Amino acid sequence: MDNLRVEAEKIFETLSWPQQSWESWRRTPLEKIKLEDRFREHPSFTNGKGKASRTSPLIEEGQPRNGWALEVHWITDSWKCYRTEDASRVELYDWFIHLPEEATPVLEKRMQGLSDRLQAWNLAYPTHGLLLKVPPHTRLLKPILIQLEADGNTLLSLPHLLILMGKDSEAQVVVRFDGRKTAGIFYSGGITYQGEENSQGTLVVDRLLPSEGKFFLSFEGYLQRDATLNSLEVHLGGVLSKTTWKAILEEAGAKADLRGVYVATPRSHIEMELTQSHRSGHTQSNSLYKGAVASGGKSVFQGLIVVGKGAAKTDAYLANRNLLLGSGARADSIPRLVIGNDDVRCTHGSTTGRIPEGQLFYLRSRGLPDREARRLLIEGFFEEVVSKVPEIYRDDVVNRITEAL
Amino acid sequence: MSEAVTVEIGEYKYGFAFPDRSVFKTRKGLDEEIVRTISRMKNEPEWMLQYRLRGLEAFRRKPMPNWGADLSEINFDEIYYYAKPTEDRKGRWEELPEEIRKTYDRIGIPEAERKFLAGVGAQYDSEIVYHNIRSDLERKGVVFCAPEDALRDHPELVRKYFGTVIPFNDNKFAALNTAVWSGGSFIYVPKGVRVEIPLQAYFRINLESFGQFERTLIIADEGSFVHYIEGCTAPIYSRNSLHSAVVEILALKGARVRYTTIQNWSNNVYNLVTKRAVAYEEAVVEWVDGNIGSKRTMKYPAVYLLGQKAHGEVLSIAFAGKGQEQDTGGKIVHAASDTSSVITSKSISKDGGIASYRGLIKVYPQLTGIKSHVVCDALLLDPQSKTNTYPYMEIESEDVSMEHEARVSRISEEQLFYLRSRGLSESEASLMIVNGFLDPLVKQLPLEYAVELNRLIELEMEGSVG
Repeated sequence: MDNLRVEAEKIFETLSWPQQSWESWRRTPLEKIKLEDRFREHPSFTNGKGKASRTSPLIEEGQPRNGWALEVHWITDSWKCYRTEDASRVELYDWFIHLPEEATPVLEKRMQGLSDRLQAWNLAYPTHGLLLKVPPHTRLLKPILIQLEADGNTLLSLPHLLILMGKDSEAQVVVRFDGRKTAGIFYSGGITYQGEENSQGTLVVDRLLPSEGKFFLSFEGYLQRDATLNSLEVHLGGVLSKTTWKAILEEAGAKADLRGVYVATPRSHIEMELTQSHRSGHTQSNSLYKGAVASGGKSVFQGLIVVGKGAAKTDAYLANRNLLLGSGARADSIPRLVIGNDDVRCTHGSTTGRIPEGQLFYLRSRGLPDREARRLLIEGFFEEVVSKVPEIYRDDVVNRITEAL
Repeated sequence: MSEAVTVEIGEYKYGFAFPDRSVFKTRKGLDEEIVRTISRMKNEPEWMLQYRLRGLEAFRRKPMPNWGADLSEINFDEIYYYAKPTEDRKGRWEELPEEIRKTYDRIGIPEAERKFLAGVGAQYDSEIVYHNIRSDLERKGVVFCAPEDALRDHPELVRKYFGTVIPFNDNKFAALNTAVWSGGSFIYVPKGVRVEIPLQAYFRINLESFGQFERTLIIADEGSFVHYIEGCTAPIYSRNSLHSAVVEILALKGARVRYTTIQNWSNNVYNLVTKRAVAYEEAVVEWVDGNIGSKRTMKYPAVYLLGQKAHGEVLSIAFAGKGQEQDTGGKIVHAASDTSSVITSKSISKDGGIASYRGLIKVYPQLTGIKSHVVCDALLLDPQSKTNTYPYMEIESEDVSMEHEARVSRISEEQLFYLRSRGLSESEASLMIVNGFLDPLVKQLPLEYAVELNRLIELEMEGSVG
């Protein structure tokens, strides 16, 4: 891991912090963040630069709660794992103890073309590094939970999760960043995913933030031949949240279904940048990001479908749907297309509006009070994205959506 | 199955030039002296000279845009910014110098002049050379003349509105235009007057390394209607030409203005235009924008909806062939309640051309009853061509219905097969499909433009097979 860290450090040194004038950051309230100060406060959690100071291993604790195949929790200073028989073959590694060889080419791919200093920071000075490997031909019927819980003291969290799905494997992974215990927590996280031939992965990422907590996350997924990835980003509230989600379809037959749910409560600023990158032909990607914005909240959705020159027979679709819940709500939507091949089907759509009067009237005329009717309609609005969440976690998400509204 | 054959530049019908007969031409490059000379030659009032100088200063100060088409090859010092072709205005067609008349014969003005047109202000190297207003328009109080004449004959109108829609420091190219503008059209339509016949003008660049900086100002007073058509052609040169026009439109309460452009500059022209309209209460502004030629075009006709119930529309066609980059689109800003907008953009890319749509829909806060619909469709005719879509939607009110959709595709195999099985050749079938793709927009054009556009598309498509 040290070699990779050092390489990332070198890249970090060459980059500069984002400026307000940069296209990606134009809508972000950068003055609220002061990245350089943050960096100066905690240049690295290690003692100077060099070897990691943490040595506690992953502790196997026994059986998980009903419904999960595997639970991995980070609390305070160690990883605790709870696994069923089903998940016995799943491999977990703490980077600071040992990072297997096979992780290197994937992380190097990640570092190629690193142009964002926040991402480089995460790879150069991670506070947590975890590799989750689902070996070839391993299919898990129940989902995996990876939860990173704040300890109430450490303000800066720079976790990186690497997920390797072996050939023909199948798993659902829920990643949860729970920062509620630490007021003012600052996350700059990274997730890297590699889906090998014919693997099927589902990934749900969720975060719980305290007031004044700030959340940055960058995801990059590489899909090889016939690999499938279903993903869902969940953003409920939070003073500032900005994610970059990039699915790279490297080989023919790869499929990506990328979804997002967001609720921008008053004072919330939620930004999502989604890229569907088709490097090979005969690939498919579908995305649907749905959000509701309350009065005083703001959401920014920037989508991008990129089709490379050789990617004939690409089928790509991008949709963003925004529901405005009050005057003073603000939703920006920028779905872009950069198409370099003619033999493709690429379309995108974006709609922004408020709860249709007609539908509201219908429910109220059936005796439902206004509040109840609105709630039902909003739940219906989110239904098609939330349905992708593994059942065991779904109620939690639905309840929190309702709370947020 | 697909053989793309590039259209020969030599076959280009408008590829001809006359030896330069300009009477007065400034030296190359741009400085304060040149701006003063231009103002002096036009006998302008002091305030216009001062305004030009502010434009010059803003032009020097402002950076080149860091987005959009590739403009790196423009060399501002190698351009002539002003040339005056004849001594004074010609009143009648027959009195024009033979050369200039021949030019317009070639591109078809006499037919147009004959029947339906009210008047033609034909531009040759920066000046309105020929000018003809029909008497009934004059009687109604419609003003249609060169901006220089408007400055002289209607100074209060010009002073009131000039630079109010696009100020001198709006962007680098608007600043340039403010400094060296020459020619263009000035139109004023009084209250309640409907101009049923489209007003037209033609432009020419006929001097190597010459820039075109026409300035058009259209004021439609309350309840009026006018349709203005702008169509340009230019011969082909070895050095690059710069066309940086500014069009300002004011549609006052209840007025309707339609502005149609078919741009077909030859493939060495940089076409960087700022076009903007303001629509007051219940007013309607429609931009119909066809971009076929030029080496690089950056043009985003805009409508600022400032009054309730105003409506703005942008219909845009772009054709990007070999070596071309069409970066076009539309901007609509909703600053009042109960306003609506529609943007329809259709683009075709061929032989490695790049067509990009760049648009903005912005809705200010505290508004109600806003409706907006954007459709951008792109057709790629071969694997080398590219298309990009950059739609920006910034919505700050909740009572909004905003829809946007975009599709990228190529000529469908099935459609081609269907037409071929009815006896059409592959190129005939492709042409028919492309015309079908553009049809919703071509329908909006006046007949002679629709015909010209169809002929141009046919020329571009020639030799290109699916």
